[in-house]
Amino acid sequence: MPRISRRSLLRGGAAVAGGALVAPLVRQLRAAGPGAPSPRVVIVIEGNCFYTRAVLSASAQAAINAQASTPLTTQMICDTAYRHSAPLTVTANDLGTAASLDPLVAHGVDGKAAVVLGLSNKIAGGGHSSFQGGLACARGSDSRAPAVTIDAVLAARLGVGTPFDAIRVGEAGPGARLSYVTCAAGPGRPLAITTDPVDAYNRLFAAIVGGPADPRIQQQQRALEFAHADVTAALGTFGGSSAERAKLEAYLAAIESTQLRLTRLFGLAGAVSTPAGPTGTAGDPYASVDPFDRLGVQFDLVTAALLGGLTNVAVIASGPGGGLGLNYGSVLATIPGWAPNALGMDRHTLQHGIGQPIHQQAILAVTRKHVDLIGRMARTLDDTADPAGGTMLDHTIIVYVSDNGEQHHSEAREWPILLVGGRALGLATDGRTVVFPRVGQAGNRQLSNLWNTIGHATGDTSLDRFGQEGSGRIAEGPLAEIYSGA
Amino acid sequence: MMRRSRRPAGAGPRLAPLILTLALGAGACSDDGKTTPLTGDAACDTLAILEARCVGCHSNPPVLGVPMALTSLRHLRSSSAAFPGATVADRSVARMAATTLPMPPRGPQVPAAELEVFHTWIELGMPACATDPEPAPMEEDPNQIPQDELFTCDGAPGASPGRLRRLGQDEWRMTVPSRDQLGKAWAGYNPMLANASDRYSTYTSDETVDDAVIDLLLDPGLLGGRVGDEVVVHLRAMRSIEPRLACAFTEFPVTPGCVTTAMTAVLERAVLFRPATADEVGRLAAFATQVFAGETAVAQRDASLARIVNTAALSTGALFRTELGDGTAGRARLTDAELAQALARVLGSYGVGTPRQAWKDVVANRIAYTAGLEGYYPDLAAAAADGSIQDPATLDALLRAHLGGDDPDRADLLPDLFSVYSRQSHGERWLAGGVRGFFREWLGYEGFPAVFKEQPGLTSQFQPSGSTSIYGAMNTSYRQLQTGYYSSYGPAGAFKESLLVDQLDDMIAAVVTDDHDVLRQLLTTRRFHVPAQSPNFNATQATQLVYNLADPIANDDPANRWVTLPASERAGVLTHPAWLATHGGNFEDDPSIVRRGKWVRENLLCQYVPPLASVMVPAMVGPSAPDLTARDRLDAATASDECQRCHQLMNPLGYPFEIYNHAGFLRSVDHDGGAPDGSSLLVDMPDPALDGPVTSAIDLMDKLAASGRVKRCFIRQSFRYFMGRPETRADACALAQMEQAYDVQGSFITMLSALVTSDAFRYRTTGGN
Repeated sequence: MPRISRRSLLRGGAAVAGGALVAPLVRQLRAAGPGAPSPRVVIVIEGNCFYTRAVLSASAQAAINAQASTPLTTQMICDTAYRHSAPLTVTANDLGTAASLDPLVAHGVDGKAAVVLGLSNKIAGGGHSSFQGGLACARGSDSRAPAVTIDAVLAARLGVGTPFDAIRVGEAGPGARLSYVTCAAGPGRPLAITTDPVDAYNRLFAAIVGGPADPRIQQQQRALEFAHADVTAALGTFGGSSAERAKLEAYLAAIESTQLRLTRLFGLAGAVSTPAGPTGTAGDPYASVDPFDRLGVQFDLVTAALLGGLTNVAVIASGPGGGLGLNYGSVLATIPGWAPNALGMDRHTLQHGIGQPIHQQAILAVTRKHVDLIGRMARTLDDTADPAGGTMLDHTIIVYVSDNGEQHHSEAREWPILLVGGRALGLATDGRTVVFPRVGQAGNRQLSNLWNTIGHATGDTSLDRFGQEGSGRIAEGPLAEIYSGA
Repeated sequence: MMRRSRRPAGAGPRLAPLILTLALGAGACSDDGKTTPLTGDAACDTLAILEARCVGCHSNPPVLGVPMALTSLRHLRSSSAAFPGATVADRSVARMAATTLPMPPRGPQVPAAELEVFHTWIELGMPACATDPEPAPMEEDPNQIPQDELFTCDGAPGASPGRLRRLGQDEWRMTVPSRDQLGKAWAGYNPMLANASDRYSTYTSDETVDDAVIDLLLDPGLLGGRVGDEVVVHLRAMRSIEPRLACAFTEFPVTPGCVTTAMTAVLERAVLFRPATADEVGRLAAFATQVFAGETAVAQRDASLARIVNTAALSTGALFRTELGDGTAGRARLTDAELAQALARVLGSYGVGTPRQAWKDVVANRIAYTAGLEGYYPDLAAAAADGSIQDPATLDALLRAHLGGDDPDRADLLPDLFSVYSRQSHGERWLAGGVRGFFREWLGYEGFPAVFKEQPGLTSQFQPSGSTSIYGAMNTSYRQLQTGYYSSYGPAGAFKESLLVDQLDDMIAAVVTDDHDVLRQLLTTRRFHVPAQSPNFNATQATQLVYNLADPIANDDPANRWVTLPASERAGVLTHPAWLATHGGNFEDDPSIVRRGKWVRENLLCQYVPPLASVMVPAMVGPSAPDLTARDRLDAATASDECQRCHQLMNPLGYPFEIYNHAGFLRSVDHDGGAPDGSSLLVDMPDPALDGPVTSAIDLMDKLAASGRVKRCFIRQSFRYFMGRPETRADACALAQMEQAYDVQGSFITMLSALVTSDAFRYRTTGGN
């Protein structure tokens, strides 16, 4: 049961759990009564992988070891031990025993989560990053988007009627503003991830906060009107071919889309409370050099956007394209025995030391921090009633996925997955772990099956051929082990 | 369960597509009420339905404004641009079955039996038609066009398709004054990306402006704020040469006459960089009048002008360049302004009239505008203004004036060089950014900074014997060669040693500016520009090792950096570490052979290699082992006939490079401890002179340098980059002219001059679809 309904929140006064920026927000949500279901999907993608060890519960390890020739103990990479030929479904509901999943327990959402192991995605190629390969199930590249990514597919349907068909934010280090290597609308059509939280705040909330009377927003509107008139005039006299003309038509459509978005955001003023914006003062998490401070802000902005109905689809990319340069000094400082002079170690160096136990601890702690942010988001959503009944978390699927597979220099053999929420959509997020047979086995399933499952759960059953696996596709259809509608 | 397609009873004889033209010019694109003869083979029947009902409009290229060709089953298998996750086949069925706006747009709907055929074909996995094999994707890959056909000129007047070209990432940045203040990073973070699927960044296939770009230009916190501020500083400085701007900074309230005059100057000097039309001036003047009306004092003028400039930056003319010609129907000559911009585009990303800076200004870290207020290429602007640019002799002269040369100051490196001090680590020869860009993109080495190399010195004579920590000298120096991260020293840390990419740039610039037998020299020269040891010894103590030079190079004399390497070790750009590493794997025993061989096949021989995406087999070598070289692993993995169908195109051309490791070091031993083996046997090469054994990359380079096939491929690659599109058979006269020019003395510059004076460069086809 939700602790707070969205309507009661509108009346104000309820204190809730949540991020620093979101806590004041959820006191005022837009008016919302029972209505049509609005499935939501949040994809959290971690650059340069998280390890199966991080999400492997004790009971799941025991189930694997029951058939393994070389039992798992503390290995970070686990798929090589899998010897089962049919999926293992472990329902002991002990996810909190996994090395990095205890924050789910702390946030009280471990019973609304599931772990899926053994999914392969060889088409993506592995390496430091598969770039778009994880979300597209295709061979990704930092210079070429190979195909549409799942977020764009979902946004085309779930984003209709919301101000933003999708929100893509992330963390790529101080100074980074945009990243184009994880999401795509199609071949050669990269989609931008906003990696500066200040930019993200302005894009999502400035128009709501300022409204049409805000001078800065007025300037934007007039600039758009100018651009609209200019492009319309250019089209009126354009003498080129239809293909060339289409470029101008696309630009005009983008202008109109931006204008429409502003109008929609104005309509939310007063009905949606907005998160705290950047202050520019000392301690402002928007300006922090700690990647987790900034990533935390992005999580909170997305949470706020979901609560306010600004979007139904979000991608949060932590270190898009590998994120090798990110420095997790604040996490490393918590590792007993970590040398102070090594706090500046970047992610790439950290991963290269994976053979050392202390590096393993550090890497698992980094993943645990991600899980904490996910748990915090889930807690807030679970505390909020959904217009369709149940909680918002019940209608929201949070997917935590590596961007390259099972290891630093990945071979894309195994893509460990953490799912949170989505119970009302048919997902079996009841604390279970499902372990599919390893790559090469007939019973192995692919990451594309997971995206297909997400599609089914949110109302799209046409994704049997999602991705570019072609004849390499093992089986069509959603994953019955985690989806009751399969 | 698979469904069988049903042959409709009484199917009549197969009819040819019937195309009717209606009185109003709209076409009827389908057969007129007939059923399509079906055979029972779902694939062939689907193709027959396409031919009967679709290709009238969905021809290749399409006509009457339809968005895509449907002449092949391949077209149906492709992804729908408008409906992510759906194929064109899915959408075709949906549109044919729709009750509103069905396809075909006129005439009776497609019979249910034919829709059933489509369904069946999709359910079967969209197989090929066995009796009518799909044509190879000729239209998509110019390497599939027989090379001889591309050099057979029939004398017909040439022209290129008219186009609207959105500014590229760097080109847009260069329109902003003081971009060093905006920061080099803006080059990477402004989203005017080229279509990544295009072979060259100069292609302008479908680039446009999306809402992400609009957000950045619109948001005062992002580019929108920075651009206007910078431009206003520039406009203030320009008043000395542009009197039309003066009143905009002094009049209050500003008069209507001043608004029109000043906005004309703003557009021409800071936004469009060409003469503005009356319509463009009127629109911006109207906007400016509104902005000025909100002022309470002239002190607000800079802010007003910045806002006006930010808004004008969203205009079509600011974001796109036209190449549509002078309006002549059918085949139009580029206008004077268009031709000047097109020539500037060949030379680089500085548009005609875009703001320039002087070297000393950067040293002072301020904007003084002591030089070149008129912007880049004032001679091109003058030639456009008086119309002389249409004279081929003028075009040739302008090209030669700006293409490259000697300059110890290396002013061409502005504004991207970190500091004036860094010029000391660069060679004295320079090439215009566009020409340099061609070699970087053709050879692909611009991607070198982003590649990852595990233990770069492995198998070289300098292989680290102890720790392989990434903090070791070998790794640190290699990283230095990639990014320059470690070498800052001098005043305020402003000096940086050159990168491996710079060093190959320098080597190429020397060859191209010598301009004699350029291709042969590129492929065989042993004169390399190498890094010197900087005062930051730890960072650069091992940078020369990648050239197999044991001793550091002293940095006290620029001449020290030019080194002639042994004939047994290097020969030309394809043996340069930057090229080898860019096209090598991450690990020493990775199959770099495939990547290097594929590159040679596609980019020196201009032959087609099916992409991995179309092969769909697990392309993996076996596990690494101490006794297996990269060649051993690759041979074992690709021995089957199925694999060899493609790998025979790549492996033999990649083996010779095995005398180098994955990072470009010369091997002293191979992975298994044996002698490095660069031998190969070339068979069935497109130039028979290339057939036969080769001993190593050195040997291979001699052969390739002498090949007419390679020469023509080099010309084709040049055409692609500088024209910004793939070549077609219709370009044969331009290509033949380029070859004729090159053959005189192997002059790259003369070859390029032949291109920019060709009809293909100067004329555009107009209208049509």
